[in-house]
Amino acid sequence: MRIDPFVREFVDELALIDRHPHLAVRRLETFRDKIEIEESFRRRSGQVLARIRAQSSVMTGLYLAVSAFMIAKFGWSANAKLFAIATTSFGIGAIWLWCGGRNLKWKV
Amino acid sequence: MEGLAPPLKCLLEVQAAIRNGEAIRAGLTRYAQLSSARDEFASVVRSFLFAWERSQPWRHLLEGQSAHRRALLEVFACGLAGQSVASQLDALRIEIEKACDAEIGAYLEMLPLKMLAPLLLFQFPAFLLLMFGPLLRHLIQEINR
Repeated sequence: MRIDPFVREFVDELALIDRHPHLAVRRLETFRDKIEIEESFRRRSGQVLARIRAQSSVMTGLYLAVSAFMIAKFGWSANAKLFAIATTSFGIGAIWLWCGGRNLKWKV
Repeated sequence: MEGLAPPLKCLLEVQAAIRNGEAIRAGLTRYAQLSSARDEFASVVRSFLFAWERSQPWRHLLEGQSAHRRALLEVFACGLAGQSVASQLDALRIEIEKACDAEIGAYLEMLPLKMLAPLLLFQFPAFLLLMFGPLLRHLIQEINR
């Protein structure tokens, strides 16, 4: 079973604190400070992905709305091939956006 | 880019180790253990530690690394050699945080341009096909009648 890295780190830290009870308070304070700094920075760096996902979600919503309208207006069966091609193309674009966002690497 | 930049994560781990009264090596080892296999900097740190423990040359590991990563490894080497590096680490952390903020800002500025490719190549044609395909088909059918 794959354990979440944060949970693993948390359990390891508690195990270390248990092994060194004379440093428990200092270790806990240091760990809390570290988590706070990490969280603050993670929020800032998450902006990039959040923006990509927001834009992709808006486009997907718009696409679904237009699809529903066109299906209601012109019918599904007569235009099934067109809808399938359009949806495949849109899906490839959406996957590109999401995966491209996830694969971003730090240069610092 | 969702998480912390690897050098900043490593630096925080080492600073936490120092504050806990541990050696720099303990912080570096913890960072190397906790980092994912995809983290390239973690493998550099592992190689650095491996070389340091065996008194082997490690400076070749700096090649191809960013200025901040190089500086960080240099400071770690000084720390492992027994020098006091707490103040250097504090200064370096400020520098790395600034660099990360700048990188995020630069990427956010470039984002609209980078998103144009999938938008223009796949999503825009999909919209065109969706909106005008059935319409044209209907029109052609009407004309043929």
